Amino acid sequence: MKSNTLIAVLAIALAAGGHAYAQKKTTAPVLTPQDYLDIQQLVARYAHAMDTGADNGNAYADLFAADGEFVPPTGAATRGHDALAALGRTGFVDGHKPALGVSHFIMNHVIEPAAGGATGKAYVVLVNIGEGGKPGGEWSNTGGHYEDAYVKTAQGWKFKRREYIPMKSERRTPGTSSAAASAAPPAAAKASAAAAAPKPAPAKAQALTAQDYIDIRALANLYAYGLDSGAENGTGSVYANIFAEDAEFHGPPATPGGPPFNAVGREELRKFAIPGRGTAYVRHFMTNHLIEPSPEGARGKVYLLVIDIGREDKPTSVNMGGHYEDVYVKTAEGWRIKSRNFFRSKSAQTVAAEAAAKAAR
Amino acid sequence: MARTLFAVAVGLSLFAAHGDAQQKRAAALSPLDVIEIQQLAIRYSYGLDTGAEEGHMYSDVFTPDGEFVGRQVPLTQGREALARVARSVRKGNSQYVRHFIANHVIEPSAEGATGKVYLMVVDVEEGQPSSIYIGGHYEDVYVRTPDGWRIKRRDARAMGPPRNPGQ
Repeated sequence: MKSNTLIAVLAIALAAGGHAYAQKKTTAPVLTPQDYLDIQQLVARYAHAMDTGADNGNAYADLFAADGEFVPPTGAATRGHDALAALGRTGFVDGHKPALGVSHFIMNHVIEPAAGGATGKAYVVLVNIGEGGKPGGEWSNTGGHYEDAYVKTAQGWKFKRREYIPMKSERRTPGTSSAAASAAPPAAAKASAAAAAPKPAPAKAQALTAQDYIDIRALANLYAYGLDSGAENGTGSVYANIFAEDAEFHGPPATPGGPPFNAVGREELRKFAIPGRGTAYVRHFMTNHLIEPSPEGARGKVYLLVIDIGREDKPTSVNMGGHYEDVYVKTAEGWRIKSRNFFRSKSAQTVAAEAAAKAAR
Repeated sequence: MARTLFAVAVGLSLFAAHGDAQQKRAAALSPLDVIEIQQLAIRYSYGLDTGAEEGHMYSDVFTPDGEFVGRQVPLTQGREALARVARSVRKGNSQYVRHFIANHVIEPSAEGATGKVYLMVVDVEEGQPSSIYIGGHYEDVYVRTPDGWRIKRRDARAMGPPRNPGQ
């Protein structure tokens, strides 16, 4: 009896020790779909809180953990609830608050599990909507990306640290300001939907789980990071790896009358992720990612704005825009883009004019 | 006896009040609920920008009695009226992208859910300078119907004057 008890105690102790070891060894916890969505919501709330100064700045401060901090480009971190609330009240640029309470457009949010919680990155561009009584809106010259650390507290997920890194290109390849080079794959040739039509697939579409949606959305966001930064370390591996090995990518001509763009296979696609611009380079802003189950796995559409964030001599402008139409497949490595077609934005009038010109030829 | 009856009546009314409170309490949203509501808001952009399915891609994101209200537009209620709006979009076609949304915050509510989402309407077209036509945010009420989550009410808040009102 006594020896049985001892064995049981030892077994429990060993199991507990093993568990503790496993916990210690596992540096990055697994995030559930709920975790991903809670973190997305935290980041969405950030914009609302910052732009409105709601609850006397406390709505902003409450997004941070008790020891959380915001780090601006100067490196002088703001820490503590009261200091963060003051920041939430005043905003960043000379105490300016947007006239309509809308300015921070945050897109391309990527989340990864990390020791102590999660890390994330998100692109941001500030827009002046209805400022100074002007109609419509103007781009501000403020844009870049956030690098975040999130921590799960008793009150839910919070920012442990948010750092704003303004847009900066470490190297501008001559001529890359044109749509042709900067938007590389999206800017290239006319896609024939037929050319990229997926192979015949099982007829029935399986329902997607919450995790499927989260993983597919991450592909579109990683696409932007991979393309803009050339990560990892200029190898283009982040960009290439969001595609299936035999993936296809088609797009309209980079220049009027130019050759159509057709890239097939990861290695060919990898070349588009241009190295050397650095991790602070942001240009491809994605949003409106619509995902639906399909016989291949899933299909999706996502809007794109290629935004050139303003620099000293040049105001912020939109280089181009349009949308992607994608087919996603679930591979042994996870969800990947099987085919991607890019369509430039064209109004009904332009489409009609093009059709008339074609008919007249 | 009268005292017992009184006690029973008080007990019943308290029970009923408790039941009401329970009913009005917001039910937690599952991850799929949040994703479906996010997808609903995104589908709104595609439906409005393309005018697809004779405007019904747009109108079907609303409940049959769903409504759109805004400072610069009259109240539009019901799917047919909403479909007409999507059909009337002058620039709309399958290649036009205009309604860019971001920062979608979703909260459970007694009705189902509420949400707030930023909007920037950008005119972007090859060979032409881009401009921001309008911007602001939507405030939404979502309900779960037998066909899935739908917008019960969308209120276009704090939109500045459009750049070219005739557009």
